[in-house]
Amino acid sequence: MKLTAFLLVFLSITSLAGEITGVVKWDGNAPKMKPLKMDADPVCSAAYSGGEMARAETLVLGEGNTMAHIFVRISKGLPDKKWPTPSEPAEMDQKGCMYSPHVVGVMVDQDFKFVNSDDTLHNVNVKATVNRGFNLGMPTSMRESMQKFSREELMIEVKCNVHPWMKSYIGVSSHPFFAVTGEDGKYTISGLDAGTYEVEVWHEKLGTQTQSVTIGQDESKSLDFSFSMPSK
Amino acid sequence: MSAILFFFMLQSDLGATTYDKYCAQCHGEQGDGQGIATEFVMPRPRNFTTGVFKFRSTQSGQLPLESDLEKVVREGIRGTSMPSFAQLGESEIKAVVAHIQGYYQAVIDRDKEEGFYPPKVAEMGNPPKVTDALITHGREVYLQSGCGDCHGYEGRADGPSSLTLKDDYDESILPANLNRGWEFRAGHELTDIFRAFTTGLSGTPMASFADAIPADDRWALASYVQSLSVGEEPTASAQVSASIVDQLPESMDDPLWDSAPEAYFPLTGQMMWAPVNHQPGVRSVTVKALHDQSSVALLVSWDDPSFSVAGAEAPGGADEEDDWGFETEEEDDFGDFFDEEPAAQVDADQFAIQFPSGFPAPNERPYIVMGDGSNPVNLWRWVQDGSLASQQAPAEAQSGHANLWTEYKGNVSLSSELAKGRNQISALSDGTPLKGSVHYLNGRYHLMVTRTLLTDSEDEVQLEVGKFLPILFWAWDGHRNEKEAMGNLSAWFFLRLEQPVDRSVYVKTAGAAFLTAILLLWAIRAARDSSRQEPSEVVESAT
Repeated sequence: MKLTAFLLVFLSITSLAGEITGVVKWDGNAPKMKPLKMDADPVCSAAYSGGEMARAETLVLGEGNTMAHIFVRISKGLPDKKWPTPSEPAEMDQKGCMYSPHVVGVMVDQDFKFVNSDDTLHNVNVKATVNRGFNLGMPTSMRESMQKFSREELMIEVKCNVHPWMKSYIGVSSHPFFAVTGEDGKYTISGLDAGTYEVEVWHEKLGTQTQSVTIGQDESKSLDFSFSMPSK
Repeated sequence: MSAILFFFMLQSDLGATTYDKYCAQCHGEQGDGQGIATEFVMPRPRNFTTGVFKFRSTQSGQLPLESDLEKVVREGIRGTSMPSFAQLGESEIKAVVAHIQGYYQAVIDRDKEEGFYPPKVAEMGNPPKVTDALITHGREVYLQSGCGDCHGYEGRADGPSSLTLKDDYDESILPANLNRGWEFRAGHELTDIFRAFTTGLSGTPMASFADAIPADDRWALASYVQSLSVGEEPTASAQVSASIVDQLPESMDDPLWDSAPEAYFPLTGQMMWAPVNHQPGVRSVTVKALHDQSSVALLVSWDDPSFSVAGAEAPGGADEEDDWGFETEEEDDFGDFFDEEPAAQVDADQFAIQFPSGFPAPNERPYIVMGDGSNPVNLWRWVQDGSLASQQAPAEAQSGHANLWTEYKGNVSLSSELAKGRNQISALSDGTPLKGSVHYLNGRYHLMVTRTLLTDSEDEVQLEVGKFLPILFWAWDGHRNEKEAMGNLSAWFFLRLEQPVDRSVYVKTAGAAFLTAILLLWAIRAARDSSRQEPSEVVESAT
């Protein structure tokens, strides 16, 4: 009985709405980021003792030059309505003196949890301009801090001043139709009604790109993007 | 006509006219911090339109109270270009603050909508009684909470992250040197210090620790920070006087130095010749001196948050914004886009003591910027050459804070130079060797140098006992690329080598005292005699 109910719900989500999926790729040679120097804080460098140092996450490519940390969202075509806010918080950890993940999406008014898993001081300098910016000191006496963003803002830069290589981005969306690509470059935005949508992809240095796509009821369509180094 | 103008004045907004008259030059006609003087002002004038303010009594992320802004207008912000406007009446100050709020009305509206306006004041509680135990506890909080990552082990702004810090305008910004309380922007009172790390200084790397550190610990921390220095800058000494010792100290650790009086001399950036130094990296020196009638020893100390050897890569100096940080560059594809600037290189830290050449007269002081052709100066210059040996952190700093400890030591030699102006400096080949030693410890340099009082070179200063010898100090912070005449210098002060006390003085003094006593006794006796005779005289005259 329960299983039936579950299946019904499951089916209603997966089959009763359209979906846009795709892959974001890097077009061109694949450069490798330099390993980061973390000697200034032994707690940071100790996190990589024996292994390879972390690298900056400005450009993270997977097999076949797929791009990670691309924020994808529907930028046009959604009905004008208020979407329910997820009860689960979005989360950004500070671990090994890196932000994890490097790019996070969150809905307006959804809880956002900053975590410090490192045994050192981090400060979360949230450089919001639309929302209220804040700068939170997180010494080891403070492992978590729950925050909220009350307005749509794409994107907010987050910086740690103590460890200047630490930088990340938060996308605050007024609707739930967004995703962040993993190393495989893949994204999926589901639960869409039939319609014509504009999909926007964002990269921290390469800016945004958009494409339009029309999906029918319950239709799944594929929409790929590619970034390359712009000529000057 | 003037009546119409007067009427117009009355009608116009008092805040706007006050703003245009006193504020717009730096903060811009639109309140965006882009006034005509902006490019010359560091730290940059506030851009009011963002609603981001450093000095607030309110919680992190919230707007300031009107009274916070009024306080800044009334008192100014020390150590910045923001002067006090106390000469304005209270009504004008209130009006101009109301006007300034208009520039960030959108931010006020947003916060109103979200229930954050009026802003919430950060909870302060009552300041405790400061005790030694509280200060000791405060130091623990300081080290455990990571304050030293930026402010350094002893608070001299020399922490491992210090030189990489940038503010919201992407300008380099140094943490406060906690040993210079008179430079604290937000004030040096216990409550000022507590408030600074409770609210955070928005727009700067200084975060809010209100949620992270309990209030009791924050008061302890404030007590510790306050205990490191005083709130008012020490008064400049007129001279440094060297007492006589039988034998000069061998090292700067010699206890002989403890009893030597310390002189304080402020330094300022060199502003007479381009390139001028608007942002002095070294702002004062303390000096002690001793002599043994044949040689003099000087011990000079100054704060410098960066230990800089020429040619080293500047931490945080490279423009990270435009640098992708690729390990392998494919020139064809990426070369143009990078526009990569080479990482900034630092220059060597330097220090020099300047004297007039030859036998100085106290009233003849050469031109302060390294003399001129007719009145040359003798410079005793030390240049950081990387030869000092790095020291290991002591046990007390080993447990988790060794990375905050920066210590270098070694013997150095100083060059004796003849300068006839900033562009005519030559090392003296017949110069007298200047033996010295340097100790750099957690953001502070100590330099000891000894030299014979008299030398064979007429280009060198000849130091005569008992004279007022003009002396001036130069310091260069290599990390700020200070070099040549773009350094920091003091005014001319005096070095005075105390004269030996003449032993005959004791005999003469005793003799004089004896004579005085005799004379006194004689005088008393004479007075008594005459007073005894007086009555009879009176009687005589009456009869």
